[in-house]
Amino acid sequence: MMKRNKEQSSEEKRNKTAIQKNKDKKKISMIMVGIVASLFWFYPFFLIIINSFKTKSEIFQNTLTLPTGLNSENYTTAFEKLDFVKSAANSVLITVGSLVLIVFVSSMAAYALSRNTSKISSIIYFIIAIGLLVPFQGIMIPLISLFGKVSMLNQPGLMIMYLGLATSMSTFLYYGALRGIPKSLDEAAVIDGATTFHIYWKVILPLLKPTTVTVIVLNSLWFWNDYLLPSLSVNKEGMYTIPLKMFYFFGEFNKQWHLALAALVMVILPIIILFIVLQKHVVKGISDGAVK
Amino acid sequence: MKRKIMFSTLALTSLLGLVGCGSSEPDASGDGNVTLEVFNIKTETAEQMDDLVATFEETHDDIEINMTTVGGGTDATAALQSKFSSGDEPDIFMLGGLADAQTWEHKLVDLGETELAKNAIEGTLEGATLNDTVLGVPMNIEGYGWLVNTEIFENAGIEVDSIQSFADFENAVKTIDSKKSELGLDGVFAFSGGETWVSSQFSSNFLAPEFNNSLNEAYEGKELELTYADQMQQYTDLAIDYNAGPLESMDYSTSVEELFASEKVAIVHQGNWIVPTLNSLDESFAKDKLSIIPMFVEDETKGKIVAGPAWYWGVNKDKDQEVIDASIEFLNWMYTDEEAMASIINDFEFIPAYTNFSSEDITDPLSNEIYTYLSDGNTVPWVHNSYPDGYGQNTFGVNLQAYAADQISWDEFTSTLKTTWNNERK
Amino acid sequence: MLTNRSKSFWLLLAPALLALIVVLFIPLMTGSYYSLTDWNGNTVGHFVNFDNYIRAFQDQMFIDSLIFTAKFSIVSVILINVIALMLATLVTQKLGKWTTLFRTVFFMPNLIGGIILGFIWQFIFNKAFESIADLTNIEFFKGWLDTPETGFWGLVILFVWQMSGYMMLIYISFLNNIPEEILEAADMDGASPLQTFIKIKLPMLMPAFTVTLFLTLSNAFKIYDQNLALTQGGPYNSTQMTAMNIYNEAFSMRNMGFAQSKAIIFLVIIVIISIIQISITRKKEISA
Repeated sequence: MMKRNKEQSSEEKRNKTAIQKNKDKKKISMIMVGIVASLFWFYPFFLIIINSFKTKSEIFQNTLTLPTGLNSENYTTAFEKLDFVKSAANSVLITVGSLVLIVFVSSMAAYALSRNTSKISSIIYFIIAIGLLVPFQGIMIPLISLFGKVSMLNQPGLMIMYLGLATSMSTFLYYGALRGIPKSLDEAAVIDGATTFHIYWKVILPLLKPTTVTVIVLNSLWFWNDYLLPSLSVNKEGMYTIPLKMFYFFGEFNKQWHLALAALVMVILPIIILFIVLQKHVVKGISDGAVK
Repeated sequence: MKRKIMFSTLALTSLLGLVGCGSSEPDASGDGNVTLEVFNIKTETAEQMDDLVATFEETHDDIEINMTTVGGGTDATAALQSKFSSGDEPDIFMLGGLADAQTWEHKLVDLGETELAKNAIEGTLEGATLNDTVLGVPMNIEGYGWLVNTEIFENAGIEVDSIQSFADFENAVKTIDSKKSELGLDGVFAFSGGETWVSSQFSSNFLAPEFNNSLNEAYEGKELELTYADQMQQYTDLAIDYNAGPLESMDYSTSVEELFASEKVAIVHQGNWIVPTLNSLDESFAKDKLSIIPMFVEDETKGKIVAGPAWYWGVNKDKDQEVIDASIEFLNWMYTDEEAMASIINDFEFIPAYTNFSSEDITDPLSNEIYTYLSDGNTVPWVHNSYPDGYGQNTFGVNLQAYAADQISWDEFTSTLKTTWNNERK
Repeated sequence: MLTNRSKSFWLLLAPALLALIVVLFIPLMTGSYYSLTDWNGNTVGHFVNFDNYIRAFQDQMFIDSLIFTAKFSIVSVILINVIALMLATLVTQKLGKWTTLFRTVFFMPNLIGGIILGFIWQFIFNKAFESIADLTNIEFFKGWLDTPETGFWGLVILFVWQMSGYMMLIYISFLNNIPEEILEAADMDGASPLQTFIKIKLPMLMPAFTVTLFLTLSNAFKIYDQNLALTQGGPYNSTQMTAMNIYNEAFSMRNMGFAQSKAIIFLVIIVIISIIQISITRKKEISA
């Protein structure tokens, strides 16, 4: 009996290791596939980086070879032409300014709507939903003309335009989250004598933090990278954002690949580093935004 | 309740506050100092402009200049439009010809009595003059046409000066093409048809004579007949057949920097603005081997190039008189002060449009050649600036691409050109 | 508490409504009016009835741009979602540290704006492909972006590269929500990975498709920055998308009224497509 038992267990073991081996094998092949795909995905970045260290004529000769040396001249010139510090500051200002507006404005609106079940509330909800469907091009021309007429272009105007364009989506996200926050919570606060705004500020807004992350992630990628709207509404050179300034290298008489590539790397790098640092939040933000 | 009100006013004022700070910004501060807003759309001169402005401010304590340079890829017309519609109107801005002059006519000061208008080379004011009112003064002269590498021509056994008709030109092209491999060429031409502005400029050669070489007639022209369509086809076909790559998609950088500057082609359709680029790649190129060959269109034996002012300076009239005076003073200074004049020629590498400059001052050979063509009356004006809005690039340029790619026939090409023109000018 | 009569209700809503009115509803109304005039951006336009709309439907370039945009959207929506789903399946295979690395790399292009992506791929297609062609003499790598076909695929490749990582993240979050026991049970029953995918994962992913299809479709239709930086619509406007056609009509040709009529046609098309798409996927979601 004992003998048989032993035999059985060793067989089981063998079986298990076979399954394990099989699983390892599968895992390794999966990793190989992943590595190949990643290399493929990353290759464009790689080409941009190696060529950003070459001179103009080196680029004309061959773009696939490694640069002969690490000359940083392209970078210093591109840094100047891009007016990097100023353009980055402008981009940050627009992005952060718009985000602050959107976070407060849309969370307030969503709070109001979620705590009122009347017909008017659902009508307003529906009106806000219209904003989700209207493509920017549908209102581009009259929007720019309207803001132009009342002298509201450039930074403040841009922030308000972004606010209007992004409110619908953000209000929706907040509304979804608020449905999950029990009303009894704020009712209890009312009994304690807190005002509506007090509740919003002290109770609701902190609870909405995960959604705020989503709203920030989704919108900041848009605002930071947008070209079309700023190109129509920013007309003071000192206020140019990074995407607008990038066009300097692709002008009619001066497409200069060696400088442009250095500029591209310079512009991309901080974003990628920031992403790697904040990766968890970004991934969570995007996943949450989709699930709701 | 108090808190509630405070919070909501805070939220609203933050919105309204943003609204508020976008509005008025005074142009002239009361203490006698004037700040001029200058709107420049020539990106390639941004640095020189800044230097020039610094020099001006040194000698003019009471005038400060704020130069905004926009362009390079962005549509210049759209940029100016948005500048105006933002309510933040510049004091001095640039006009690209009669269409711009008409658009901004209600905003422009009559510059007819200024020293600049009097100094302007005959005929150069036409592109900004409406109803005998001079609304802009020329920034400079720019000339373009077939720019050639004379060394390649010589190596192929052709004297550039001997080309005195289309047949000569065609022969030269064929000769060079037959020796392509010995000369180390990729092709004879590098016509960058991918850039519709190049094609638009090209079209001026053939449309100008139809409108009697007058910007005004072209601007008023209700009907396009394409009188010189045959000549246009000859030149176009030649460029398509002997181009170093597909004409319809070649871009500026490939054409000028990669092919022409590195002597892989003999001919490009470009203008004197490429000289700085050529100099940056090969210092001796512009000095030793750059020349321009005229086109034979109206007259079979008398070749002409396109030259004239591409841009004009205009002064905003809806401003205080002291601002207007300061604006005119600045423009005047730019083209009459000795130091400024030297900078216009040497730093900007401009071909001046004013008679107080002497042709000997123009040291760049190509610029000098263009200036000579102009003085001898062998030029046609930049009529593409008088086309309907966007016509040169979006209609001519785009359809030329389609023709070069064999998508449409020559007849379809010309009939599209005519019907679009006639529709736009209805 | 927050009843219709309460001031707080309206105060909380006011900023959002104000912004929507100013940015969305007033432009929608003035835009509809402009589309019936020959307004050129400066002088006051004359009323021309529905002439602009009739002209828009006769404008071959506009029609071509709509067809091109539709073709582009269909092809890229399919490719993006197929590739994103494959990447998501790969990344959710419990690969330890590799998971994070792969996810980071695949998502990276999405961090970069359309203009910059366009310039990157312009370099790849024009310069790098040229070098490969010189080296290998393979015809395939020659003259990218020179023809309508290569221009089309260039745009598709760019957009797939950009969007797949984003959609992958969404698929991952739905895949991770599938209870472990179900997958293990299937494994025990000897289901092949493909069977598990089709029979178990796919139905559970139905709600994800509502989101991903909406996002990819609307982004594909509205694309402008990428188009501008990669091909500028060339050669001969064959790769010009509707957004660019409207932009050029408005800001280069300065036919603002006419351009606005195109913009409204475009808006109506997008609204109809979005509504159809959402109602179809919602139905599938319920039946699944």
